[in-house]
Amino acid sequence: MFSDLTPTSKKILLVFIAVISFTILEIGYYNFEYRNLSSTILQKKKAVSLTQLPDLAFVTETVWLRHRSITSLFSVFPEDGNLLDYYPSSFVYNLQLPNKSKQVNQYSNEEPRNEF
Amino acid sequence: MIKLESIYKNYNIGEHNESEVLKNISFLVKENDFTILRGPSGSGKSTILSIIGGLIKPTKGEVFVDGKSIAKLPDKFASLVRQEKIGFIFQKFNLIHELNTIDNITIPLLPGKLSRLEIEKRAEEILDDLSILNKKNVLVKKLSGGEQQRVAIARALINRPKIILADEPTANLDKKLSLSFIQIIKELKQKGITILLASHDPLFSELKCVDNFIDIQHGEIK
Amino acid sequence: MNFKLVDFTLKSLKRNMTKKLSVIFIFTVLVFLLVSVFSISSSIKKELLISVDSLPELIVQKMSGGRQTLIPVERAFEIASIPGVNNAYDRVWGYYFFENVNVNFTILGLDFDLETYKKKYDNIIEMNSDIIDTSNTPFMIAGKGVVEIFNSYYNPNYFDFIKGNGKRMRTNIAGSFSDESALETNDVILMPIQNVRELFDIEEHLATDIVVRVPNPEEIDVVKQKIQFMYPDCRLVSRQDIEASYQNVFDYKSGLFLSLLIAAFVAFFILIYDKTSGLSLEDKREIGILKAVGWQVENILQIKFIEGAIISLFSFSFGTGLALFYVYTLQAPLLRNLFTGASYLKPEFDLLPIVDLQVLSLIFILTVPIYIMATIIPSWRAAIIDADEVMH
Repeated sequence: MFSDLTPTSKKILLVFIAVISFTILEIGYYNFEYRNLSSTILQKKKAVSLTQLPDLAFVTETVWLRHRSITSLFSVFPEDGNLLDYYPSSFVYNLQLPNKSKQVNQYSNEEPRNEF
Repeated sequence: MIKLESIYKNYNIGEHNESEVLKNISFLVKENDFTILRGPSGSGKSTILSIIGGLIKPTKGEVFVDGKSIAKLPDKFASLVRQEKIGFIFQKFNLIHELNTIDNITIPLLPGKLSRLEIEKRAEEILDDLSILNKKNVLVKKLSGGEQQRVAIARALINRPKIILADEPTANLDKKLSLSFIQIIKELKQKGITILLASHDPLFSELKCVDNFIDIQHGEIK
Repeated sequence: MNFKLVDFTLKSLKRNMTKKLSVIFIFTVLVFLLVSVFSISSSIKKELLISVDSLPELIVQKMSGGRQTLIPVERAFEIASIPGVNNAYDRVWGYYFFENVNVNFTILGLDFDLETYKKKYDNIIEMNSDIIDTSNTPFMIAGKGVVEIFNSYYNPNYFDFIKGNGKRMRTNIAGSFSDESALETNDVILMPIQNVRELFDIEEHLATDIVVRVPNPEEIDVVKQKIQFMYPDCRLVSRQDIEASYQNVFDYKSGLFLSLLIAAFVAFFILIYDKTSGLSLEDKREIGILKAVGWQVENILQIKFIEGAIISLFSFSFGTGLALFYVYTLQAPLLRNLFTGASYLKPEFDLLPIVDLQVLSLIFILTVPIYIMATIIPSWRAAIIDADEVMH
């Protein structure tokens, strides 16, 4: 059977089988990795159980909790951190862009005004 | 070995440009005979060979190859007949230029049951007989005309056919190569192979080893 | 399986190498993009679906003029008395915009002394043992992203929130969430409920929303209707709503990107069309020669099938393998930003390695058999006519 293949053909077939095998092994590996994440998954479940908040941290920078009555699908994910949520146009620009790199009250000795 | 009975062949049947290429062709080629189909270009010689080889079907009539009727055989069985009994040498050789010599020669046997090693052994024997063993791994497009013709002959012989059909085999060769080809044909005849050759080359008319001449003109036997 | 035909086919792959390589390239790129997009989408969806069971079955929000407003706490008691409702309690939470860094923190009020909460947060919060007495001064448990912001832009030990009346509320950082829950808690701050009320100026009798727990899924719709009847000014958000809206969003995001792949799809289908519309003269001649030397139609179809299968399976596997490596090992640089959007508090998180075999099968069915058919059909057309006609 395989003796009917010339060395060149065997090389090509070997490469072909290697790629397919690698992909199958890769799929198996990632499935295995996922199963090993059970403790991580448990942590995630507990965190949500505590906060009861459904959003992932990269979408929480919006104002309200998601509902299908919200018309704009596009406001679900923020397009930019500078865009502040606003009805009815769904966002408004914050024109006074603060200097993000400025350190504020870093180890300041100044006492806060008017205590709690 | 080969028998044709009242063969007709029409092209473009039912259309305005319908043409009758063969009319009432009947002849017999006996086993081990060397028969030449003579006639000018366009007389229908190639068509007759193609019909005998099962490459096209006749419009009417019967064809018998080694006792088997092939005119109405389904393509599958016609291919088997070609595989087992017939070796075809085409006018323009019809080799696959991107393959090397030995790959071209072994093509007819690939669908069969022989192993690759057995096929290659057979191919090398034939190449050796035809004195082109040293060109075994050379791409066919890099061979000379004469060498390509020998590759075409080798391919026709690889399946050890009983019948060789050759269509204008010397059309693209000079005199020297043509004579070389004739020598090979003589050797094949001595081995007991039935040869049917179509040509309008006058070289063949002078051959003494030819058993039969069939003259074709305007699709009819003269 | 006739391995001599396999050998012939493999050797013939070396002919017309440029054309075959370009086919493999387009095919691989297409599969790579498709699998990458679907994998990222599946992974993030899974992240959400993992936690969805922990969410409350219903959340009740009070609406006024189409916007959410504070809800009276007493409604929680009334809702809790509905048959089928296991528990209903008010929740105080909101967003605090830290202008200097352009980030929103999510601030949630908890009763830290309550046993139920103690059990929940014990395992996922790392307390700063050298800090402070949490009994008097305001304190917070912050997500890792928040802690980093404070470290970089404020103070590692405390933060001064500014209340609505302009006064500051110094709040000590008492602990942080674990790394594993980064995606769920990166921008979260937990504070004692009274401190959140003070910060957001929410009076004792009001709350942000009401959480309703309905253990029997069959009863959720009925409870929803009852609450809606009781309080027509309320909007109810169910767990299914949240699942459905995320499904929609991820499908939309995937669809948006996939529509950009139109160029790749078009290239692929032009390729298919080109193949099915007919063979080159050289290919036809070769088929004629094979037939003339004794090959049957099925032998020719076999080699064409092998050729199509090798190219398409190789491309599919290679594209899939590359895509999975790109998404789950390299963590999909560039592409994942498409799904996550802009955020200054974007946590470092690893995409969950989800291999959705259904999606892979779908992509396989849409590409591999189509390509194989596109290879076989024109060859079959050439193979069934007389060899003589094909050769000439």
